[in-house]
Amino acid sequence: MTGGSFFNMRLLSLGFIPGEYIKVINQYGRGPITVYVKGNKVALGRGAAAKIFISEVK
Amino acid sequence: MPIDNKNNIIKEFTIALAGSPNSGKTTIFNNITGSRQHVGNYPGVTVEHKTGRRKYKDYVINIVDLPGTYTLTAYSMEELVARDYIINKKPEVLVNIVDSSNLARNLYLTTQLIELSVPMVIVFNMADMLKKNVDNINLELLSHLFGAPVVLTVGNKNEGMDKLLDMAIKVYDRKYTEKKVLIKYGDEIENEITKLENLLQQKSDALKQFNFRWLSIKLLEQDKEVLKYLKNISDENFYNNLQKLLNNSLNHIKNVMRDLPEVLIAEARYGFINGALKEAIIEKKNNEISISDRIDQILINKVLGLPIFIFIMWVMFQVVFKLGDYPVNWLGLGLNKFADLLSKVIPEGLLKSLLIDGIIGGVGGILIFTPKIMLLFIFIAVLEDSGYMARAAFIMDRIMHKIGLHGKSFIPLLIGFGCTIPAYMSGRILENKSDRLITMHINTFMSCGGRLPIYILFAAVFFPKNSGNVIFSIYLIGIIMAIAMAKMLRATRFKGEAEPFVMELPPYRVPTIKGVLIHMWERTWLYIKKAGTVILALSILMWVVFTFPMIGNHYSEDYNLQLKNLNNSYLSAKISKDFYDSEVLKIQKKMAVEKIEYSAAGKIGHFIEPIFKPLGFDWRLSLSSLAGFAGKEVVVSTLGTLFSITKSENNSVDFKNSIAKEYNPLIGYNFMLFSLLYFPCIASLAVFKREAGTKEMIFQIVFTLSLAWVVSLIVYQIGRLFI
Repeated sequence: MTGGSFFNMRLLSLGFIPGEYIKVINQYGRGPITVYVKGNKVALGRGAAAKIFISEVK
Repeated sequence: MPIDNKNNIIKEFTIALAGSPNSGKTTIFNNITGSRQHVGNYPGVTVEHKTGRRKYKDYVINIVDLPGTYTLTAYSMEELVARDYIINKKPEVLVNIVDSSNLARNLYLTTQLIELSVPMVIVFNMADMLKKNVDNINLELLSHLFGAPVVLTVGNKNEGMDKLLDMAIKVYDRKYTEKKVLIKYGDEIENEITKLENLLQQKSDALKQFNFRWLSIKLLEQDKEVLKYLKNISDENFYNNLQKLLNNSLNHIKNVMRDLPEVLIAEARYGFINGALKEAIIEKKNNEISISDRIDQILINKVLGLPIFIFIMWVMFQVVFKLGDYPVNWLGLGLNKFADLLSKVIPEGLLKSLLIDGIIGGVGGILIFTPKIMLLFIFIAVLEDSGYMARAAFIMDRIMHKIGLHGKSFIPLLIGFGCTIPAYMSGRILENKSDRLITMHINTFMSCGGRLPIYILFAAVFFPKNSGNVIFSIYLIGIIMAIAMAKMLRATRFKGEAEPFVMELPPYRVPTIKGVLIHMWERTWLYIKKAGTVILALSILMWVVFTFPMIGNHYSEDYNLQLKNLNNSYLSAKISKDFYDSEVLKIQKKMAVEKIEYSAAGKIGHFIEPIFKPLGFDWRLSLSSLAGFAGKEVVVSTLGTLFSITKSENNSVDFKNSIAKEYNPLIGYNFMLFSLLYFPCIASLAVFKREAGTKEMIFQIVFTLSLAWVVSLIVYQIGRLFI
């Protein structure tokens, strides 16, 4: 994760912690995406999503 | 100790409700307190403060509803208020409401509350959802693991409230003896926590309300508010030591663990939660797509999402403005009847004029719009409580981002079409200060309900065939102005990117009628309160200004003599009745106009006229705009007074004719435009100041007044060339 510490805290509290699995539900081309993290549906703007590094698992 | 009539000792204590915004906290609060509640604000900030009282068994329980938060960081005002309350006010029992359908996420707040070491009850609300997802739950084990009793409730069915209160009492009486737990963050972090705790001991007097472990953890999370607080209470020497130690700790953790302390702490908390849930709960295997997801596949669909959103907005405005017309008209008729009745009872004179022209005209004129405002707020409450509002913000984010705003900005802007005051207050959902201030500054251009009477009047007079379209064009210009000004503010005063969009999409829920009505009423009340306080005072002031100094016999001609002569001619049958009536009316009108011109209002109007002349406004329009500071609703009623329409006569056709005669379509349209652009009203400015500070409020005044003036100047001067 990169970004200011405020932004980090927000993502952390939402359950975006290293090693956590997230499930991408919807992608809107180059627009925002919705994901499941910790059983919670969260919408991320592209700018926010770009600050989270993920690797793909099937 | 107080004693009741059966000689039992009554014990009084306070419980505070904490929980996430979607946990059903408010429903439980309403269930417990019933109607005995009081809404206020926390001092200094406009985060709502709800308190209630409940007599239960031998206890009087004060209940405080803390603002809904997901965490206890310093991320938003709500979070700060909640945690400051717990630390400083130390409620006897803290009740943590948890949404059972989303345990892992909601218990994150619980782990933070545990660290504040206040006696606590954990409430798994919406427990009926548990049965769907969970095969077995071991409450005793959960209570043991969290070190606080866990109770099950179903808020919207009013189940489990007594269990909750019984448990709170048990905790208050120290009859519940589960040991407190500590969440361990691993050796490296624990070592640093101990070091910080030891250093903080030196200030134990000044920090006695705090738990040092909590302070230390917050320091490692780099919580700016905690650091600021410690700086304020400590001398330079201590603060330097603290900072040195903290930097060492942070660096040490980063080097050894190869990650940021705040990330490690969050991991540990989620680890704690996962462990506890795994031990105490057996989950059902569940792979089917939830209903919420299915609804989302349509509502936030890439192609359908935006059209559906626009359709919902369109339906909302149709209902509010078309359906809302009926009750508004009924109220208007009722008010006229009331004024008629009153004018028959009260003798002619100043008191009658004050009551009917001043107070009923001013305050009543605003109150009759209440049904429309209520309808709008019902819609908004339904959208919020159902979970659609979060989706709408999501859909709007792409568009809002282009104009330099956040998706969530759209919510206050939408509320602004009803009344700007609750709109300013709902700006609080924006965490980033720049986003919030820009949204508030442009909220003015979302044409509020109070301006509508102006549009309706002038559109009907000058554009009778297209009045709907003309009014729509004003709304549209407002939106375009808002976009332009947002871009301009972002480029000048509030530089930087809008906050990245991260927003939870809570599961869809069917809103409860009670919840919707309560939400609606809270906002409507702000509107009514404005009418009852600020507008009432200003209406009286207005009336005084319009009435004094009284003209006495300083008329330019001797109208009384003319009237007498006319009367004589009529009596001696020299003139017809029709001619007599029309002549009397003419003279009465001349008298009324001179009366107003002689009053302070008339003098002020003439005094400020030169400022407005280049916009095409005469002294009457200028004065009405000035009166509009009190509330845009006052503009029309002021014009009514200026064109000497007394409330007891039904002369609205006459009024419209005089306006049509005095002005032209260009001036009429320009006046609508001017009314759209300058700040909504003084009451809204007071809220603006509370929310954003004096400096921003002054900017808002200067900014909107000069914008309104410049735009109207351009429109009039260019428009004149074509007419």
